[in-house]
Amino acid sequence: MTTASPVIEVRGLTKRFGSMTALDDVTVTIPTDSITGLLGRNGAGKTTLMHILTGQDFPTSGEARVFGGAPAENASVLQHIAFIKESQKYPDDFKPKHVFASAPWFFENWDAEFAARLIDDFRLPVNRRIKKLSRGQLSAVGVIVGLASRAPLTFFDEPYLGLDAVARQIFYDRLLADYAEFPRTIILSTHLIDEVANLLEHVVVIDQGRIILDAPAEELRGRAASIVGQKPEVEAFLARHRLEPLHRDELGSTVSVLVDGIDEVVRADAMNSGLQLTPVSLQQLIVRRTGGALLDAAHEPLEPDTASARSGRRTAGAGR
Amino acid sequence: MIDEGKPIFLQIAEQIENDIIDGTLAEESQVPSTNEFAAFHRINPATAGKGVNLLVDEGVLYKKRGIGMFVATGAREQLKTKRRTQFVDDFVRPLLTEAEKLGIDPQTLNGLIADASATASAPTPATTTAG
Amino acid sequence: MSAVTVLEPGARASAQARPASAAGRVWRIVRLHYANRFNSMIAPLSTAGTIFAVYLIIGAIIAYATSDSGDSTQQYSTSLVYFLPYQVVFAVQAMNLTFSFALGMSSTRRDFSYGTWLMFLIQSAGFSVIFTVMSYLEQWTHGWGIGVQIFQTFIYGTGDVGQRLLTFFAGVLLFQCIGSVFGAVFVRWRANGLYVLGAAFLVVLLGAVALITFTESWPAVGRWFVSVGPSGVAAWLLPPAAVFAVIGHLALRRATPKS
Repeated sequence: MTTASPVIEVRGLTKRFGSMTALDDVTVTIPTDSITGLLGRNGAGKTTLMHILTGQDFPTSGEARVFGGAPAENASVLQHIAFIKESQKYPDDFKPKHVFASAPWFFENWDAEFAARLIDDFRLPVNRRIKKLSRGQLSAVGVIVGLASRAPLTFFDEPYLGLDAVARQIFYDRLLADYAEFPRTIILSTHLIDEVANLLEHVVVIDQGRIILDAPAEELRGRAASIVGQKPEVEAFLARHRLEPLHRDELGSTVSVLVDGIDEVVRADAMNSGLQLTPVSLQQLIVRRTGGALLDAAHEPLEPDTASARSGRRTAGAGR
Repeated sequence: MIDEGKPIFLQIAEQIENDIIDGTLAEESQVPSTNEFAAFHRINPATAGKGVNLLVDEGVLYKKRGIGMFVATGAREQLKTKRRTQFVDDFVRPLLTEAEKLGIDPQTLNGLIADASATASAPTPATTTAG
Repeated sequence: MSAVTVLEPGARASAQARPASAAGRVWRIVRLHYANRFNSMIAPLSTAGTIFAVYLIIGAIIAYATSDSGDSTQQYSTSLVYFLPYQVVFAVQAMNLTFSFALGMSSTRRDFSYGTWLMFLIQSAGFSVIFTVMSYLEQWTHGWGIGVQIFQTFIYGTGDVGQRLLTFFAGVLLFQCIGSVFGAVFVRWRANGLYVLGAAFLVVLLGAVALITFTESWPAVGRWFVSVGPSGVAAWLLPPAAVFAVIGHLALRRATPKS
């Protein structure tokens, strides 16, 4: 892995739109030459952060440094960046072929042959007006530019929303293969976390404008688990390790809790206590950390609404 | 193929180890490249690399400059020894725990093991139910 | 630590300075505006050509009807009318969608602004050459054989080559600049900005007209036109065009591509 200084360094970044705070004192660094996932719910601030990192919007306060410089209006920084987003507008009556013809002027590493292969892979009609493309084809345009540009820093802001599962798999495969051959820094923002979990080296999770998770993917894997057992054992176990469950489900006298922060010690103890410990996916962990309270509110109790059952449901959303 | 709980790079390393132990990967033969592993399992090449490097550090694999990764001589024995040590923790202890849960005493357990091993080495498959 | 190297297979994207030159960055914006040749060249030319053909036909009909030469004043005002709304629409579109795309391709706003103004200059120059050529053709055919005058009037298309080029250039450029300042304002402040700018234009225009009327200066204005001549008037159009360009540039400096 590279020991170069991080390609992106953000310190105390805040962005307000009128009275709405989109980013609240965000501090994060993104490692160079890696695939980082920028995850979070819609409206959490992912797109705002990426707009500022690519110079398309300006911070309200705080600073963002990309390749060591501020990105806004900074050609020496921007020339190494590709920002692919779903909402990209194209000039009137543009066709994909115009996009691919102009891309090499802006991206010094543009590989036209690679683009041609991708056009085939995605079956993109390059001579049809962009206005007339299907959603999937429109996404493909962005994806192809993002991949074939081989920009040292490439952002993909949910550019594959329009792609079907097959096309998305093609995207992931091409991305991995090209990244293996031409290492660079890639930032993927998505809410299809499970699909990309194995691609990520680093994970950053934003919720309501704040960073709530910022860790290597390997560290997060296996850090969360679902623990099932009889209520007294589970409660004692949680108390022993001072764990606050992110979610709790009860069925009769059996209780299932979702906890973050498992390590080998905790794991061993769980086994010895006769509790069943199963790993939980990255998506589950993040969903619970960012939407837990809402999900619980919709959750129906399966036993009579006793006082103890009700008290057990107040602990979600502890992940701030 | 990749499971949730264990770090992916460890799973990659384990898969290579398994292949070496059961002879699929002969000693001094070439191992697929990091990128090939990554593409096959659809994982990040850095993660695949980490798994491979783990085995290089342990002396199970070595690198020939410009050509690729190869299985070291003696790797098979080395891995078998390592696995034997893990065998107790990975298999014996859980077996004992489960046996205790079901009320099977050590003597009965030994008998069960002897029986099962006899049927397993019998020339014709004795039963169709799982042993 | 900044900058990047051209990648070769297996090479890591490390940092090494090789920025595209400033001129190159501006020029690629010009190329971008012309990338879709239909929109940027064929459409305006064919629209102009159609208008020209239509008025030629109308002129011919009138010439037949009145057995004398057609009224040149009618054609004069029509051409101008064509340009004003067309240039505004063209410029707003060029600014809006291309701005968003250019930023999406990692261009800076400054480069986009310079490149777009350069494109407007080229457009104006191109049109002025075409119109000048047409004005000579018109002259040599004595009004297209039927005495119709579209490209020659008191204010443009007459005089020597230099004067014709200058008057056409200044006229087209002025309206391009008006259109593009509307475009830039739209990109920065969207519809609200347009309303404010439109209102401001109206106020200034009406104010000027009112002022001249109340001070009964119309004759003076007329005398000035005559004394300065077409070239002089054209030259006087350039400073306002430059002012609009600067306003537009400043508006773009903090504009953001809205999703």
